[in-house]
Amino acid sequence: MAALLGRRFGMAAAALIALAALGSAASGTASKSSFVKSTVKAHDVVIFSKSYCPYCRRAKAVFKELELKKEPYVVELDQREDGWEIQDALSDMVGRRTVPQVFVHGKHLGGSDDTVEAYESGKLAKLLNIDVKEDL
Amino acid sequence: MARKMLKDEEVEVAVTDGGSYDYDLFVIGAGSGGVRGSRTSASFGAKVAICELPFHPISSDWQGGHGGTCVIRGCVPKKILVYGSSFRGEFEDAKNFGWEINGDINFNWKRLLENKTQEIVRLNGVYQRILGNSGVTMIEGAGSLVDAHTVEVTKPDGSKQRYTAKHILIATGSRAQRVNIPGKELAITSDEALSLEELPKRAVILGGGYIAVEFASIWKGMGAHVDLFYRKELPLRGFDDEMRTVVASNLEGRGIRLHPGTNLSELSKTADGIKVVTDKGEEIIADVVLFATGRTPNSQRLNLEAAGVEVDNIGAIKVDDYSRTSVPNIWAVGDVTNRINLTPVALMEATCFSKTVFGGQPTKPDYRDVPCAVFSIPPLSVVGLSEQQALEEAKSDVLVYTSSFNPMKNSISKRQEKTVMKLVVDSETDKVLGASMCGPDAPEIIQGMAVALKCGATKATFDSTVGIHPSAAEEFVTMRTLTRRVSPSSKPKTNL
Repeated sequence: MAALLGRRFGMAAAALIALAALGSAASGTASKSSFVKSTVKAHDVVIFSKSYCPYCRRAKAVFKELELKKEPYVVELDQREDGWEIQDALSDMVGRRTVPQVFVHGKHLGGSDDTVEAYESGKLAKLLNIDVKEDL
Repeated sequence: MARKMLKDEEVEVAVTDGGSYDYDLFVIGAGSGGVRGSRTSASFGAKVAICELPFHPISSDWQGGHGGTCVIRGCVPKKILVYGSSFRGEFEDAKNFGWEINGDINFNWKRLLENKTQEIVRLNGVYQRILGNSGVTMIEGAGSLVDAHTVEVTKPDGSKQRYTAKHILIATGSRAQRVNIPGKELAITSDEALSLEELPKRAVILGGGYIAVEFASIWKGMGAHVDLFYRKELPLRGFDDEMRTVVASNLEGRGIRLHPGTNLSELSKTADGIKVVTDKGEEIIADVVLFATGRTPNSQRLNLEAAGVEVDNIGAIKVDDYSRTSVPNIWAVGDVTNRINLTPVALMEATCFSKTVFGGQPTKPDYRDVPCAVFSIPPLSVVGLSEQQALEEAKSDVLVYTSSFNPMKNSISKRQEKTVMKLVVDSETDKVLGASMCGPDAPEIIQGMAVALKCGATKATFDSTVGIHPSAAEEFVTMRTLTRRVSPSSKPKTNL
């Protein structure tokens, strides 16, 4: 693209357009990053997921078990046009590209295994201020 | 004069001195199965000839080479590229182990390609030497049947010559197939992918099988942007669903973009590359589009009908348990029969063929507990039954043991990638029905597991085996806690 424009408008114009494209890509990631941050802030539990992913289903099942008053806010990345960009932004933030990524009260809990582990250890219930009735 | 004749069920065994035939055995195709079949038959005293096309890294109707797909344009060059690609991860992991790599690390695709080609040329020569040393006559050209005892070979110069044989073995393998969509000629197959002049910066791969997954890993490791499209929800249909999930997660974790439930509908050439349109209306620009949607048996040009050899609806040659076709003296092994399309299986089938026909020991190939590997990064390897297959076959409950852990190396490198191991056990007999692993060195570890399964090892045997510490492999003998007990009646109907 830049090469084609270079032939028509000279290299300076092509360079400017290439820089603009880079800028928009960078700002795209930045805007997705702010989307992730604002989403995480706005909800008690946020799951960044993909609808077909068995690991994501497993993480969602954990929260079903907890019978929360308010269901987790789920962002299905594969059902959004900007899913890849959100995933890139998430990757920059948490250092992992995989899904699910779970946030509780604005803090990153982790992936599927981390969520199950936190549930089984009772840590998740504590984070969500849920009374866990011990089976006597 | 016949040295030995015997019957085992319907199998007639004979070694002749040629009698009225030019050869005891004529083999069409010098790939893994053909070379093994001819060598082993010759060692039993048979007079053997084999025909093969002239060598070329990319196969065609008139190009092939000794060693076949596996050696020239399959497993061997693929594994070389996997090795080359794996260094990216190693460089990333090295930092936390104290290695400071100053300056740029540049990848020279041309050098790797050159060295890969040198190696397959060397191996092509090795296979020719092996055949020569075994006393097998090598004929260059394309073989086809004239009748049940005659093969016509079309030489590279177009001349034709006929040879007669008491037995004929067809071992012509398979070839990559292309998807019939507009612009399909712009795509490449695995043949070309192993010999690309330029390394792609943007690659689109269509297919969810092992070839698709392996090339996604290879190109990503070499720095390309990779989009992988497949029809199902998960890649690697036919493998254990849980392990498929692990592979998908690892691919995504390494930065490969997965597009499940998506097909390609059109390719077109643009100034910026190949425009790829999906059946969901998405558009992507790529430097390379790889079709990795399966392989088809090489049976079309063999003139099989002239001898009455039957094929199935995809062109695979129909054979019985001993690899005998519908014509009693014509046999077939390897991918052309579309049984289990793996090099070691073709070797097994060819060895059994030779024992049956020339060794006086009628032998059926044993397809139980055949191990295999997908050389993704990290690799997946399995042996025996998947959880789903075990439930299909089980009369009693199936016990599933799994272990998911961060490999020791990752705890220092900080790579977020778990190794997952799994054992599937029959609750009634305690027999281990299947073992699978996704993680570094999985194929090396599973090969040992395959021996254990072949010996009928029980879970108790595994539990009583002392582990090697510290290693990932020891997890297989320390899985004490049952993950789940599944009853055949509660079998989940998956359509992943």
